[in-house]
Amino acid sequence: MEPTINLPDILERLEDDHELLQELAQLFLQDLPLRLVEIRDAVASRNARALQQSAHALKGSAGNLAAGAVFEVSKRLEQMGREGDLTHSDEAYALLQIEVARLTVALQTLAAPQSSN
Amino acid sequence: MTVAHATESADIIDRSDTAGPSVIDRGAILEHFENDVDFVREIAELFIAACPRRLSAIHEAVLGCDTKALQMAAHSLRGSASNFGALAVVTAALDLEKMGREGDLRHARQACEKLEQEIARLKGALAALLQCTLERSPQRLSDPEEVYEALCKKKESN
Repeated sequence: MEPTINLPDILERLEDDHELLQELAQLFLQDLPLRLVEIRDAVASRNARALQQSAHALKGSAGNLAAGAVFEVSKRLEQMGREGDLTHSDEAYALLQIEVARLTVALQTLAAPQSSN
Repeated sequence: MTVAHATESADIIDRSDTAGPSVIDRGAILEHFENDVDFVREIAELFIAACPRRLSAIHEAVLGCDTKALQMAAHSLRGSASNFGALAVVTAALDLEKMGREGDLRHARQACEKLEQEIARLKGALAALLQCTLERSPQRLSDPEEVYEALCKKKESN
């Protein structure tokens, strides 16, 4: 099973820059609701092209955070969009919601919100 | 690990019906995480890894009299600790959060020390939790991949 977030991996990529990790995590959490809505709408309207694009975007951000599980499900949704076969896109979206909820808790555990001053 | 240590670890993990409050409550944790044992382990590991930085953020805010930063840092630590039903940490963090919100840091240093003690106990309890086997209850699907397969099968049989 893919880990929610691979901490050693991401820290190595960021050269142990914890501040940067906090920033990336915050940005990801900020963008997340919009990205999910795009995917949900694409699945609901059976728009393969929109699904491919929106899932691709989430896959990229998840990959940047070494968030393996969300990356894999996004990849699966992207592929469904590319192949135009949305037979199991509802189920994959349900799976995505579970993994996104896990990732959100993981990122909140890892990263405190930044003070604005 | 000595027998005394083992007993102590068991005490701080298990819900106690008679003695004082435990650091964490295994039953409550499993319920909160919907019996998702792998996820509990991941989050406990992340929490232990993130603790030093989060504590030092609170320290810096107190030393620098940055009430807003104190409020935010204490608030988010409180949220993370509440995932484990860690009441003592939640309470200690809430005290600091209030001090930050009210801009009154007169007792913040003592509150910081209290929080540090409680965090140390929580980390010990979580480390002990990671060492023991958490039982997955058979009726729950906790692996998302199993959930996906089950949903797909259900659709196909309809």
